[in-house]
Amino acid sequence: MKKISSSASTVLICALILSVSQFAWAVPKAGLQLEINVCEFKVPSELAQANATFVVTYIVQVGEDGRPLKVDKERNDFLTDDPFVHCIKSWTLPFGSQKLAVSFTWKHGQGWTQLAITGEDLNYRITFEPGAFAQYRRARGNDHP
Amino acid sequence: MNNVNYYFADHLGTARVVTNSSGTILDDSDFYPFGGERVITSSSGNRYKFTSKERDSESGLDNFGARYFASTVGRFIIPDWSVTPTSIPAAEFNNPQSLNLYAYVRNNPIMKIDPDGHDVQVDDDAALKRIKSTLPKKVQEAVKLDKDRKVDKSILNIKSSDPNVKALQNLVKNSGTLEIKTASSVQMGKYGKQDFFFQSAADHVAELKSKGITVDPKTAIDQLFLGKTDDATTTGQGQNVLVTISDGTGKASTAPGGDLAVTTAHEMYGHGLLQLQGKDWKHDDHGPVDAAILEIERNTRKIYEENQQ
Repeated sequence: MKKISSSASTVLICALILSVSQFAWAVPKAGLQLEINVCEFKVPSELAQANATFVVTYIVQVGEDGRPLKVDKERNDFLTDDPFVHCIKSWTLPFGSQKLAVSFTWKHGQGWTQLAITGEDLNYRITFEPGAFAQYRRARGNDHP
Repeated sequence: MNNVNYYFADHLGTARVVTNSSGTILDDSDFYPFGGERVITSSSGNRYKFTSKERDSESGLDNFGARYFASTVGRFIIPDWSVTPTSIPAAEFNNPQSLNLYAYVRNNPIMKIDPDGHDVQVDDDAALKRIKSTLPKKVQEAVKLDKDRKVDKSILNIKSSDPNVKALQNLVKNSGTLEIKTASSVQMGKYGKQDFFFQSAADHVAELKSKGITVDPKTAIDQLFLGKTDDATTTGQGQNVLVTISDGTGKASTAPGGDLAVTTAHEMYGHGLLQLQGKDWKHDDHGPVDAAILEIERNTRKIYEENQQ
């Protein structure tokens, strides 16, 4: 599949979270802080207008210090990997060395709606306020820079 | 009687020359930009003149289906109209020509035609099935195609308060044509040809599990791409709006009928109708367009479930 370039900009998580669901809580290692930046992944208007709902998933190997060592694509049918990999690599997930699945959900008509991080004893789900990123208006902006 | 005549039309569909079966020219006419006829020879009795529309011999008006057109002045003789009362149907405020309710093809008669004013063109039988799936069962049988594969205007006689029925009636009456077809894939600009697809949340979770990846099923959703409405300003289709819906084959073979019905209504009665009415028609981050489309989806899901009972 052809890819379209997209860019990422970091947005503070606290401004955009509607809810954080946590089904299993792994305690962060002493002296380390959990840090997740919610990045905005721009979606070209052609894709935004197509009646498509999809999930972008990466597998992340995290080191003892919580820093991502390796980010591998599991599924990304439409967008370029760089912004996702770059974003994930900025995180700190201090729950011990393990492999995590990170999924971003795009729903047609709603935009990015969810970020999920799943691993052993770790299960975060962050849902975004509808329209929080103004993604559709931004997607149109991509057509007319 | 029993004579076969041949019509030779220009790029607008106007028959400029009519011959008999032996090639003898019966009619030969030039046409002015707005349809006025300059007759050179006329002996066939052909009434189908400017853009193939029938010209009334008594009044000289062209029958465009929804309205009559006067080629002598290049204007429709009644203003544009819509089933839902609207002050200026198909208004585009960045295009002043759209504000003239009597204007013909926004005063660009050399390049554009008005197919018959108001139409829903159905390219294949599966597309008709998709349309019917958006409508209450008692109405479905009444939706038929005419000989040109357009939704027959007899549906305008249906009395129904259902929003989807009204939306379809509006499409049939709107000044422009919505074309709907089904396919296994669609062109998506810079993305090229993209297959329609459907994967249930459960299948996605199972697929990841088979790769040793465990995800919370609560975070999984159905993934799908089942339809698309093209922007008429970028497709080169003139004023036609093209809606393409999955034919339910290939990667979309597991797509539930309800999802296909909802997608069809979403594209036709949401994006398609709004676009033909000259309104804002693209998603707007939970603005008025999204609110309208959400309501269309809810209604269609309800109709589909009731039809299954």
